Amino acid sequence: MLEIFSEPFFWIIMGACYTFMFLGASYWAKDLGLKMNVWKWLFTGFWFALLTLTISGGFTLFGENEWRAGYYFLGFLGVIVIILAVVLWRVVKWNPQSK
Amino acid sequence: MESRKVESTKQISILRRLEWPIAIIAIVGILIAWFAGDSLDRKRTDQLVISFMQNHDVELLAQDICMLNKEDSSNYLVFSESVGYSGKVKVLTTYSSGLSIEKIDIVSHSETYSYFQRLNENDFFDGFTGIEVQNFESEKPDAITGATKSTDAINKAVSVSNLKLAEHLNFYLKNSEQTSSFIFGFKEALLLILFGLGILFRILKGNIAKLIKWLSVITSVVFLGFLWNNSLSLAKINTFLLGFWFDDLFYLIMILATLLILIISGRNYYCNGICPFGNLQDLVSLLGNAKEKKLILHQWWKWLQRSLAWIAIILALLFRNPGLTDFTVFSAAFDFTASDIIMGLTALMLLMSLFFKRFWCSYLCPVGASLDLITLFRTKTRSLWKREQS
Repeated sequence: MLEIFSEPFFWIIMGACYTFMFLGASYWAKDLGLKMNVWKWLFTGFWFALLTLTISGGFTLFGENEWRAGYYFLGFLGVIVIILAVVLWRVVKWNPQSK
Repeated sequence: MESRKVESTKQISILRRLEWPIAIIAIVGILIAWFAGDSLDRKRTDQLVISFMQNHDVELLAQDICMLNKEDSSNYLVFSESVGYSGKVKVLTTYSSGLSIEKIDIVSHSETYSYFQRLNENDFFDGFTGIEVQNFESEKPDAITGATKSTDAINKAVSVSNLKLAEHLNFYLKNSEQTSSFIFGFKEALLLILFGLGILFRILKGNIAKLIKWLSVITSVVFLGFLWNNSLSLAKINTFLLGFWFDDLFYLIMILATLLILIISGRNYYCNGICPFGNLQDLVSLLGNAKEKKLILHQWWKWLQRSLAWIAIILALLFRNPGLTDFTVFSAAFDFTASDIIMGLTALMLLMSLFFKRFWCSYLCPVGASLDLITLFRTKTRSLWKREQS
């Protein structure tokens, strides 16, 4: 079952998903009524990179049979990612012109 | 809807009426557990000593000092104890006839398991072998990072053993002055400043009060939290109740100042302004713009919190082990040292504080629940006194 993660096909699909996400990001922001600028995109990019690293790092540790380290990695960085997600949402929703 | 509200108000008033008798039962229970625990502990130590004496050729030389006779040699055995992070650490030191340490054995301890484990991992106990009694103070093993209190306690206990042996054998021990842990330093001063800021916050108003509030929040999280990991945990309350609190000026100030201010003003300055985890939750709440909310059946949750705290204290007193039932999340949050369950609970509590203000403090923290009991006694005593006056 877990072999699927080492199949090239899985990573082609994953790469395609990432491409669609990057291409679609500006449309999602428009749909959500968010007024984005460079700083907001930078923060979003930073958060997304952290999310990706957290998931990939945690699951790499699981793959190497370091279950405990994997849980700790996901738990510690996961909490930070979720807290930053809330902060990110508040930042991207913030629109000084509407005041 | 209306009938449900009436029902809930009725339940709350019943709970309020029961508060006082339950508080008295709680105090009586704590007293019984204290005395029962003391008696059990004495029995356990006596049994240990008796079984050791029966299985070895041991000659009692003086109180806490024995001679262990072997086929080709004889050793001195000296028993001593000291106070560690959360209670007594009892140590048996074995000396060779040439007066150097052969080994030390931990007879019993009540330190947090994960901290004590670090001593084994770092071969701390092997560091005692071969040290001559006269050179102990300069050659004793270094403290292990992350378990400083435990290593200090063991070193101190061995120093006491050396002193006992020197007194018994009538020789002068160099550098034998006992160092006192009652040293007033930066930590103690900062703690007093934080209490002072708490009082100022109550007196002042407006932006200055806000500035003071956030200054103390950040100071507490950085210093008491991440740098020192010094918060009032359940283990510390149990240590205080068991009477092992004369050894650390920092915690003595923390506990006495909290109690004094609570009794005089009725305000819990520790939980509201000094507790680093409470302040960390405040910071997370600020990021998440959390609101003050109450769970459904709020009063019942409060009673569950108090009951958990009470059971944890009773068990700790009964087994004379302050850290046994400590389920506080402070070490997990600031030192990343705790069991997996507590680590998970810490993460959950931090996430909850994104949406609820101080969820841990409101519904789980045993420290707040214990201080609530004191507030209840204060309120009741005041109302009785006022009734008496009128």
